[in-house]
Amino acid sequence: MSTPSEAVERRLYNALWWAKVQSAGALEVSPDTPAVAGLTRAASPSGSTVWLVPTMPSGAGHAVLDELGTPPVAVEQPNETARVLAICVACCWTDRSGPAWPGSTGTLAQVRAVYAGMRGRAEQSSDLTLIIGSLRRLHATNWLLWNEKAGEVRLGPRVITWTPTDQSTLRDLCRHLPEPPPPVLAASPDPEPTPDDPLPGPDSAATDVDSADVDSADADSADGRRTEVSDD
Amino acid sequence: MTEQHVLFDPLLQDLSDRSRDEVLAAFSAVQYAAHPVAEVQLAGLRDVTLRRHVQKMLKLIGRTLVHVDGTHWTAGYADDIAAALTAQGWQPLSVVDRAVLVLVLIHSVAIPRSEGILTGDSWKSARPTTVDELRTTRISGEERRLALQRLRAAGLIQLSGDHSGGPSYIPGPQLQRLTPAARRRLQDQLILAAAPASPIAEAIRARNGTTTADPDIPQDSSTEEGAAV
Repeated sequence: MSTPSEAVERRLYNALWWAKVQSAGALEVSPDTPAVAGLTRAASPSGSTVWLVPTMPSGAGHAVLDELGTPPVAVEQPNETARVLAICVACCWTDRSGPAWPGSTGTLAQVRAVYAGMRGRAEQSSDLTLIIGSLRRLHATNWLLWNEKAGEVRLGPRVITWTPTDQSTLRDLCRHLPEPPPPVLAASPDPEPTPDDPLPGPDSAATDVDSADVDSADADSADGRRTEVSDD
Repeated sequence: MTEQHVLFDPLLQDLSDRSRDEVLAAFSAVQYAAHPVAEVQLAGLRDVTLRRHVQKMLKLIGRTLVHVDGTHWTAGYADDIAAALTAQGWQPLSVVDRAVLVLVLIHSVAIPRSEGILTGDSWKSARPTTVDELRTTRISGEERRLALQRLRAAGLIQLSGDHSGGPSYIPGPQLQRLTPAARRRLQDQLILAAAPASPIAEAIRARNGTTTADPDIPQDSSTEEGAAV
């Protein structure tokens, strides 16, 4: 049995870690970090760090918001973002007999190919802007680990919160998506996006796409949402 | 997740199934809804005993209930937790993001408030901050665009409905999660930053036990409040 002061200290320790993951998203920490009640640990693909991911009891979560008719904080370009997440699941969850985490590394080329196949047409120049914007949003929210410089993507630590039912739904979804082409990874793959740079900076943005386009698309998202293709 | 929840179950196990559902619904609503939720909508907020359970759940994760306009509730970081994280140097927002957020708060809230157009201590405002007002030689256009994108995704700012002069921004719904003490600290820090030599700034320093104006303190502290919502 712990003493009352130890229990208080323990509660403060848990509360501080929870506040951190709520303000900054899932956190990558040293495996030596003591357990935090309610935060699930997901070993990173390299095994040298663990991610702390918040989990909720059954009955808590976003579902209640639909019943109340009160929306959560809006996701920009929600349809494109969901579409790109689905594509990344198909590209990175290659062994679907097991759990989705940690999955394998996919590439931007794969995502672009599946995206065009999903839309049933050849790739258009605006596709890349939408895809990169979605990858950045999903990286910022820990659904994906997007390495913009390498053009490589992995599933993010939040996928460990997917239940067996969620995973079963996603397996079905993957079967309906076009088959991704084989990944062509960089010669010396860097599987870990820079952990201390969780959001893409202007430099990395400039190396890949015309990020001004991404931003202007983003700034118009109120309109973009209205004009979104509504096939999902 | 259907398995036992090691953090919340000790609090929830003594409740009836119905009470548990109502507490979890209220907890989820104040945590995840973009805007404060009406007390009348949820038994877990209307009923004082159930609401106490919601508060206890929030306390376990460093949060607290925040009453908005006397009729609505949301959740924000508990003052003691925000203070402890600030003391540790915890800061999830980059310096550019904080700078852009502060500019929006100055133009949309602090200036209208000083002109008497906005009353009360809320950080909600319909006065848009234009892109021109966000221009500064210290932040490049590219950095600003990316910061605006991230701040919008975090709900710290939002597009105003007024598009007449191009995109413009107002404080986002997350600002309503500030506790009364956090709102006051943010107000104090903006005064210290904007008018460090004013008598009111002197009074704030006296109240906080700081005697000299340190130009770094207002910038850091005021923006930390922005993150702690």
